Amino acid sequence: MTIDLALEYIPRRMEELGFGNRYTLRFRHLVLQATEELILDAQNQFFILVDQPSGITVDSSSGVFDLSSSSVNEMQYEHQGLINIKNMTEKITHIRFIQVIIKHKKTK
Amino acid sequence: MKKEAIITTLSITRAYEIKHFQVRIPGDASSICGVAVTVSSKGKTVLTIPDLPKGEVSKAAYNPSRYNRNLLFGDVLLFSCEEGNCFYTGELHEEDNNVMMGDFTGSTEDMFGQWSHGQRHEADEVIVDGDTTVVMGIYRDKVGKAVSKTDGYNVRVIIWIKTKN
Repeated sequence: MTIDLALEYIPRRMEELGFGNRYTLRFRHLVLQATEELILDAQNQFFILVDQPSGITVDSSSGVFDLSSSSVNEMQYEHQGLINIKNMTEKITHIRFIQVIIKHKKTK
Repeated sequence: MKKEAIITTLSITRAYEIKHFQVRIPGDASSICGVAVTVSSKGKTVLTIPDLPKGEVSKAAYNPSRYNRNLLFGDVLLFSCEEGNCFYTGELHEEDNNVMMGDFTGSTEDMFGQWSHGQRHEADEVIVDGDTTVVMGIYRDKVGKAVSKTDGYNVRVIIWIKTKN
């Protein structure tokens, strides 16, 4: 997914999910060392993948993004919950996300 | 108001296969009220308890003093497009192998088990707005390499809806 598409997609998706404009965005550029594994706790958040990196597996409850996998019938760019990111290569690899952080509802 | 079931069949043929799927919800649906997931292994036993030959699983299940693993096929997650988001997550077992545990009445088969031991398949109750037009789902196979020894298996995802009319 390109950054332009993600920025077009996020407001519509948040509206669909009932969050309206109650969210903030952060751009995350992660650098993974060789064979590094990273677990992101994204409960009540969304991580939109804006890259198509090869040699990296992104696995969450929403699905999997892994260009080298033959057992997946669809790649997932929108991740939530516990996200497991693994660098499958022997070199440093970069991956970029847009992080959507849902704000708490104000109670009066 | 009527209840209707929408059945989606997924064919799993590869080890650790991850299958994304979508289920279309009809326009007259007022809510999604239940979800059930079943497995059929095309007439073959996909999984066996390691120290038993194939086909002995059901016999072992009726030994009242033995605890048997419930063999896991995979897990299912369902997402609505609307506020419900992830509204169902469940593990898929073919049957409960410990249903007769501690039952020393000597019966090898319990014809009333569906009433007395909860063997009857019931849908899990969910409450999701019917305005969502598509339910997105993901199934992850946990059987692994045993799948390739057979022709695979079918997973049925049954979504119960309530209609407006």
